[in-house]
Amino acid sequence: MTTTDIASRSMIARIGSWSFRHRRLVFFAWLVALVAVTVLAEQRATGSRTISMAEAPKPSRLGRCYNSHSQPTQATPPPLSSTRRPVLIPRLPGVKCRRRLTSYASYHTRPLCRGPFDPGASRQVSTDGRVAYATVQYDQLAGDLSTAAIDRLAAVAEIASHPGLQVVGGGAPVARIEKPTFGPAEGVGLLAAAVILLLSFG
Amino acid sequence: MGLPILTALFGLAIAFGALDLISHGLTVPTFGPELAALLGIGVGIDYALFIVTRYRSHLRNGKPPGAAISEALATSGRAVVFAGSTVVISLLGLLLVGLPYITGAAIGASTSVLLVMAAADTLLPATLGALGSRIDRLRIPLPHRDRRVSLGLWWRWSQRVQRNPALAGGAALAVLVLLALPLFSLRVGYMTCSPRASDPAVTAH
Repeated sequence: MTTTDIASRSMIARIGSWSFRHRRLVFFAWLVALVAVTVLAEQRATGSRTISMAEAPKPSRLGRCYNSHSQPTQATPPPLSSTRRPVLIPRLPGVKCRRRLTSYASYHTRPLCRGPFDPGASRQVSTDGRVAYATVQYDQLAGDLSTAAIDRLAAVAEIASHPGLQVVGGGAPVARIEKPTFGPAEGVGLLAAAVILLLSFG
Repeated sequence: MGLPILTALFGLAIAFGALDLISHGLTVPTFGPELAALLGIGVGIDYALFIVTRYRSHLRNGKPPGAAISEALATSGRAVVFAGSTVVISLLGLLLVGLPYITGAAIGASTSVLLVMAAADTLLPATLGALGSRIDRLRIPLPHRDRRVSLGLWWRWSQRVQRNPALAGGAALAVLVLLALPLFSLRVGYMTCSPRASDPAVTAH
């Protein structure tokens, strides 16, 4: 069977040939699809449901987990959004550093804020004592948090930082206010990809 | 070179909008768009390249553009649909994990692959129809580009493999088995906030 015979029998070939002949209609259909999807997405953009992996466990599980620590949040709905904050500690955590981190955690008035030295959080300090995590749990999805709330969190991190103690935000809420950077590495990578594609396929 | 990229990007643009809509009904993780883009760009450019390369080959053999696209799709187009369907089915296999955010990521990535596949089989032929035989007009004039493929290394390799199918198949199987052996000592786990019986401390993220 020749390729011409195959082409006359193949449904994909018939669809392709039809697209080839009715190209204006095909362009129009794809454009309409793009515009329709974009408009629909914009209309529904008031509450993004995108969540981070940190929010992935089932709410009931999280609720059980946090309630087991007898935190004063028994009646609070399960947290749905979190940000982990690595804190770099210059030496092994001493009394002074411990107090600072604990007070740092208390900056937040949200019910599910946990410092690295809180009960149940012993695993949040690295073995060399240089990195620790404090966790802030919101009662909203990351996409539903207001930018002002996230800005406040960033401001607190800035206040807490000082020489010898670096506070860095992370997680889905902080990612929302962080602007992606396009540095030389990205530029070189894109240029290399473009050159390789050009040389390979013309 | 630009055609496959443009086709893939167009399909991907619609996929992003679709992913936004999907995120209102399903839990989509924050890495969902990146995963969809990663797969969409990769397979989208590949699929379009298969078709464009075959189309050019038929043009060089003297076929008119209409026949060239028809025959390119009858061969490479079918391969694209088969390959794309396999990727989609594989991704949908992630639904068996049973985690909502993995389900969202899998459906988002599958949508992306489906859309770039559809773009390769419909939008690309339409674009090729608009270009006709002028597709090579902006081509970079590299030396030895048009030399016969039969002189190439991979052509010789394929001839050698076809002369000794049992030997080549056996060697490939042996390598695959060797690579798969560590599977038996694989230790899997899942990040959880459930406390262990011996450890009252709980870390939940």
